[in-house]
Parts: sequence; structure tokens; C-alpha cells
Amino acid sequence: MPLVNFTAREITCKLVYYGPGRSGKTTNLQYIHGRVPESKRGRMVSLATHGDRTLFFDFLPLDLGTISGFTTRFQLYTVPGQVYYAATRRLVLQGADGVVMVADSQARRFDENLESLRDLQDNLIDQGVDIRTFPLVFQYNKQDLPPELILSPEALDESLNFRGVPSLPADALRGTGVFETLRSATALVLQRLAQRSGS
Amino acid sequence: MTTGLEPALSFGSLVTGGGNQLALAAARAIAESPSPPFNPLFLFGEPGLGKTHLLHAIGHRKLEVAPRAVVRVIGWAELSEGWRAAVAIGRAEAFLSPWREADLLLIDDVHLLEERSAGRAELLGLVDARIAHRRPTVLAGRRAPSDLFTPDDPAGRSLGTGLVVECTAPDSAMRWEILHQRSEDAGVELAPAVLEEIAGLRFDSIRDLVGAVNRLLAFQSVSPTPLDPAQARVLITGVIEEVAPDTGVPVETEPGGRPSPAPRPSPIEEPDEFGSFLSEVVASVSQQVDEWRSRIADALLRWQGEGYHTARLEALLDQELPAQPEVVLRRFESDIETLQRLEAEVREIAPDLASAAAFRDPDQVAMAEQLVEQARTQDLDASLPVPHLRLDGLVEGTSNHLVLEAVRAAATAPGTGPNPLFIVAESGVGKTHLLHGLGNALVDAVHRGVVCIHAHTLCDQVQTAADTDQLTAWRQRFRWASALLVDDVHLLAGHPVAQEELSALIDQMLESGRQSAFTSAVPVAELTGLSPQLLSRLASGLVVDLPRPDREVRLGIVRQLLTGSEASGDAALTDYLASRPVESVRGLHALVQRLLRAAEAGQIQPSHALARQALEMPAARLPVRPGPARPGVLGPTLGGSRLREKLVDQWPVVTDRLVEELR
Repeated sequence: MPLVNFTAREITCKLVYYGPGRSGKTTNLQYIHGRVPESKRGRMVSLATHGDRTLFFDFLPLDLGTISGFTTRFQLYTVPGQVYYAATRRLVLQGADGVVMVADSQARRFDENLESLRDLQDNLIDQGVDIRTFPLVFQYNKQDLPPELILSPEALDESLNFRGVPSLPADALRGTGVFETLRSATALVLQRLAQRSGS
Repeated sequence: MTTGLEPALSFGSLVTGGGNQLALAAARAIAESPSPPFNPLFLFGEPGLGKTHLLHAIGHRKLEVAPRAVVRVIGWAELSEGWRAAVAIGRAEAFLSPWREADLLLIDDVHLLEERSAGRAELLGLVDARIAHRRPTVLAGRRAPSDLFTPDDPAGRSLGTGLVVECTAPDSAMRWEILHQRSEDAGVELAPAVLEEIAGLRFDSIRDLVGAVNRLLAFQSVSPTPLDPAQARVLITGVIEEVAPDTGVPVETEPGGRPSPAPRPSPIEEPDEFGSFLSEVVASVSQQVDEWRSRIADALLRWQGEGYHTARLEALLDQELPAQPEVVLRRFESDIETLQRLEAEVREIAPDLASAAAFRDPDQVAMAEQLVEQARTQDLDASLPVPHLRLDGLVEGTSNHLVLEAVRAAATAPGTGPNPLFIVAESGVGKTHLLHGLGNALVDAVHRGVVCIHAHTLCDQVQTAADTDQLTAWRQRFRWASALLVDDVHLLAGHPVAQEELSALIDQMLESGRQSAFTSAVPVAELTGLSPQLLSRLASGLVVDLPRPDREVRLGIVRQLLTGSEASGDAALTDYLASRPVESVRGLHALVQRLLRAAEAGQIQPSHALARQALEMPAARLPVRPGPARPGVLGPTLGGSRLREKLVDQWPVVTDRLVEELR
């Protein structure tokens, strides 16, 4: 999917919320959906089945209007976190312009975070994406839980964020850090747009 | 830097809501983007709806993101008055300049412009100029641009070409927020029911609302008991007669006639996260997408101003988003640099060519280069060596072997072999042939730019150039010479200017590794009349003598001359001719020519006997074919020399000819 369609004068950014099951990806999209004026948002779609094949993801289109002559659209996706939806994850990840890695801050979920991160890297590499330059943002969700249950953002950074990409603490249920994460990911994607256009 | 911004009027102190959300997003975009997606931004709406607040907030925000930006804010009346005063003292342009050049110009109360007001056209022209130069401009007024101008009024047409946004009256939620914020700022607590009551009333402007809340706050601050909604309503409606229930928010009326409190509008305690996000995206996209356009436009204006064709950049601007605008711009500017360099050069060597359109069109660099190449070589081509004087036409023998080796070395490795090469030979021995032969060998190797001239020609050129003040242009011609060969350099004696120029030329040639060669009839040690500078340069390379032709060379030459005649292959004749006491090649040529003419006159075959008869008997007894008297001096010989001694080919009087041969 091209980021900039010159013929149609469209800018389309596909952001994928990645992470282990129940880490809060859908909650992120739901919060965003609730804060976006109706005129700017499309219907939030959740696909459960499609024929015999299981597709399971959320999709939230955002129409940001015309910016600099370009109709600007954001498409927010979540992937199914469960391990057995690997094929769907690869499908959703295809053509992504940026990824938000939603990690569950609970200490007991650390291994699942790590596994999901490895899965993300494997899938990106399989798709020929240079993960060193690919827009990626970490969101450490559920930071509202009692401190004894969770890892701090610093500890999570130390363990997961090898590349030192932007990372944000969040409480997606209450919206804390949700738009900050979206803004951070968007900024990275748009920076890449600038590099592509040579400016 | 800024002028006239009100510190309190910032985005932080602005209450947002349905009435100004779009205006706010646009205001943030124009404040935060170095190249806003729209220009100008025109805000219009009734008084008291926050247009001035927005204007000042834009200015503050601009200075936050670009602290060095020049931001100016002014009202139209003030601008108009200033212009009038400036005109009165003859400083109109000086007055307009800072407004025109500001990085961000904010003009309030634009509705005050009147159709016939003084300076209207000039001030609208100021706005037009800013728009044309893509300098962000924000205007605010009570009426939309379409209401300010008639359709047939060309002035001010551009005011509506950017983004026009209407500021509308605050909705109930916004009113509630204003009331709430104002009471908090004042440190006076108003009961939530009071806030809901007042927020349910319609106010045509924020200013009226602020006035109302000020009255409530003043009343509450002196009242020992908290205001109740009814009291607040009476207090407000008693003061502001036009206040009526907000038609936008239905107010239910209780059976007793008292309007029931409006449902509490959802307080905007949470920040407008999406609005903020959208604003950032707008600014970012605008910056990324439009930044290149701004740079191209700047470059276009600059180069157009300098008289260059900018069709390539104009075409670039017509594209939505070129793949690599930076690359195109760099290439364009590189082409301009090339054109400037070429133009500067051609201005020196051929000023009449400098006005060619190709030097102003970056799309015609190839043409410009071609013109310069022509200019570089047009004079040099006139100084090419005589084509048929080639090294392979020379007869080699023991006497000239060394000099021929030196010449071949120079021809094989011009500039790195013997350089300069200085050939000393008596007149008629063949040094001109050698020099032109070297020249032709170099032409074969490097094709262009080989200059082979006689010392007299050099003197004439220098003298003419000096007389016409064209010495610089003359020198410039030689910048592109690949080799410089000067025949009979000893004849420069007595020409100090030519010597000086030649010294400088030799230095140029040596420094850039280009070949130079000279011939002289006088050995270096015996050269007089030449400056020490020139002498030192001439002798700085290889000095080689070309001796008189030995018998071996003479035999070869005679064979060459007899080739094709009836005497070709006559060994006795060849041997006889080669043994004649001549000291130069030219003398040998004359002998053979005399023999052939005698044979032709007598209509007999050239032979040894005829040769002895023709060359040893007195001239009067020679059979001479009657014919018209021929002039003693002919045109230039094949060698191109103009020396009198070299132009004497045949003299009508034999004694004269013998004298010449004895020289």
C-alpha cells in the first residue's frame, strides 16, 4: 500500500497495533474511536470470520480531511494476539506504515511480550522490511495496575526496547497515553514520508 | 521578534468549543507550519467571538515554534493611518516594507477597509505580495471576503483564496467552560447550578458572556450567600436584554413558567485529544509536503529575478509531489552555476556571444557549452599548422636524426617530453617543416587547440590587441590552446610587449603541462633583443640544433623531388644533384626545379648531362622558355612563411637567384 498516492492525491497511513493477546490493543482503538468526532471516523470494524478462514482483527479508519491538497486517511488495525493467529498477523501487518507494539506491563506477561516482539520482527523481516528504520513505538499498557504487579517503563525499555525507539506508558482503559502513542507513531510515519519525498 | 502581541491572548487561555474548533485548528496549522497549507487565513465573525484572541494566539505560537521569526500584528485602521502618514512624508515604501517582509503578519478588523479609502489598493497589494511570496498572513474581520468586495472588484480578490473560517457564537458547552474557567481564574466559586443556568442562555458573543460572568462574580464576591440559579438569571437578564434562551440547546420550561435548568453540558475538562492530534498531523503533513514547494518557489523567484529561464522549476511546482524535488533543485542550480561560468568566460573571449539566450536557460547548457567551445577555438583554428607539412614527409638522416627524435618525443607525449622544445636551424634547412610537422602530429593526437603561428603574426596580434585594449581577450584565447608552436621566435626582437605576452603564455603552458615549441634561426646564446625572461623560458626545455642536410638527407630529398618525373630512378642524376654544394633544403629544391624546368623548356628528359649543363653553365646560355615576366615575390609558400627570403621561389635574373642561393 503506497503511503502517498499522487494520482489520487491521498495520504494513507496504516498503523498496526501489535502485541500479545489481551495487552490492550483493541482498548486503544476503542478509546480513539470514542474521542474522534463522528465526521472524522469510520465504523470500527471487527472481523471474526471470513469463510472457513479465521480473520480476527479490529479496523478503525480515520479521515483527517484534506491536508495540503491530500486527502489524509489513517487506518488503525489491531492484530489478534493469540499465538495461533500467526497467519492473520502476517496478513494485517502487510503494507503497514508503522507499528505500535502494545506490551502488557504485568510482570507475569513478560514472556508473552517478548514472544510477540520476536514474532513482529520475524514477520517484518519476512516481508522485506528494514526493521532498523521502520516506524515503531512501544506502549507499556496497564501502568495503572499496582506497582508490585507490573514492570516499570524503564525496566520494560531495558528488556524490550533494544532499538531505543519511542516508548510511552499507558492506561488504555482510561485513555492515558493512548493519543500520545498515536501521535508518536504518526510522527515517525510522517518523518518517513518526508524522507521518501526527498524533502 | 514581534510587534504588538497581547501577552494574555494565547492558545492556552482560549476556550475551545463548537464555535471556534475549526478556526482553532486552522490557527494552529498556520502558526506551527513553516509553510502553511493555506494562505491567507481569513477569520470572520461577529464582534466578541474571539477573532482577535486567535490572531494574537497565532502570533505567540509562531514565536514558540520559531523564536527568531518576525511576527507583526496590526489593525486595518492603524495600518491605513500609518500608510497615509508615510505617504505624506514621502516614506510610503519604507512603511510598507516591514509589513511585507514579516514572517507572519496578523491584520485585525479588515472589514474597516472602505472602497474609496486612501491606500486601500496599496495595502491590499501588500497582502497580495505576501500571498504571492507565500508569507503566512492572517486576517480577521466581521465580514467574509465575499461580502467585502463586489465580484467585479479586482482588488482584494486574493483575500479569499486561502482558508476562510467563520467564528460562530459559543455553544452551551463552550459557554459553560468559559464561565467555569472565568470563575476559577477570579477565585470566586459559583454553584454548578448557576453555571448551568447561565450556560443555558444564548449570548451572541463571548465578550457579552464574559461581561455577564464578571457581573455574577462581582455580585458573588460581595454577597454573603451563594447565588442561586434564579438570582443569577435575573441578574443577567436584567442587564442584558437581548439574552434569550439558547435555541441551540433546547431548554425545557417547567409548568410554572420557569425554565428548567438546562441539562449540564458535558464539561470539557478533558483536553481535546483528537483536535490536538489533528492539529499536529496537519502541521506535520503540511511541513513535509509543502516544504519543498516553498523552497522551489523561493528558488524560482530568485532565479527569475536574475533573468534565468525557470520553466523547469515551474513545471516542478505544477506537480503534486515530485519524487525528488531536492535533486531537481540541486541540478537546476548546478546548471545555473555552469551557465554563469560559461557566460563569464565567453564575456571575455567573445563578448558578442554573451547575450545569447542559451546562457540564461538552464535547459540549454549543452548549447551554451557549444557556443563557448566555438568561441574558444574560433581564433585558434585560424592558427592551425599547414596540413601537408607532416613529419612523415621529412627525409631522415644522420644530420637531423636527433632533432627528429626530439620532435617525435614531443608529439608522442605532449607536455611531458621535451617541453618547451627549441629548434635552432639556419634558414631553409627545414625547421618550419619540422614545427608544422610537430603541429600536425599533435592535431592528430588531440584534434583541437593546436596553435602554430609565426613570430610576426604573434607580434601583429599582440600589437592589435594592445591598441584596441583587447589584450585580456587575446590571452583568454590561449587558455584553451592544447599546444603553442611559434616559428622564427628570434624575430620577436624589438617587440617587448609581444615578448612579455609570450613569456606569460609559456608559463601558462608549462604550468598546465601543455606542449610548446619554438624555432629560431639564431642559437639561444646569440639571440639579441629578447628579454632575459623570455630567453630563460625558451631555453628551459630541450634546445636542439637542426644542421644543414648531409649527403644522405640530400639524396633522399632529391629522390623525393624526382619521384614521378622521367628521371625518377636515374642514380647518376640523383647522385649528382645530391652532391651539389647547397647548404639548405630549400637550395636543393631550387636546383631540382631548375633542372626540371630546363628539361621542360628543351622538351627533353632530365639527365645527368642536362643537369650539368643547366646547373654549371652560365645562365644566359640556358634554354629559357619565353613567357611573361613573373614577380619576384610570390604569395605565401606552402610553409606559410611570409619571410622574404622564403618567398623567393624563382627570380627572373639568374644573378639574383645565385646570390640568394649563396646566402
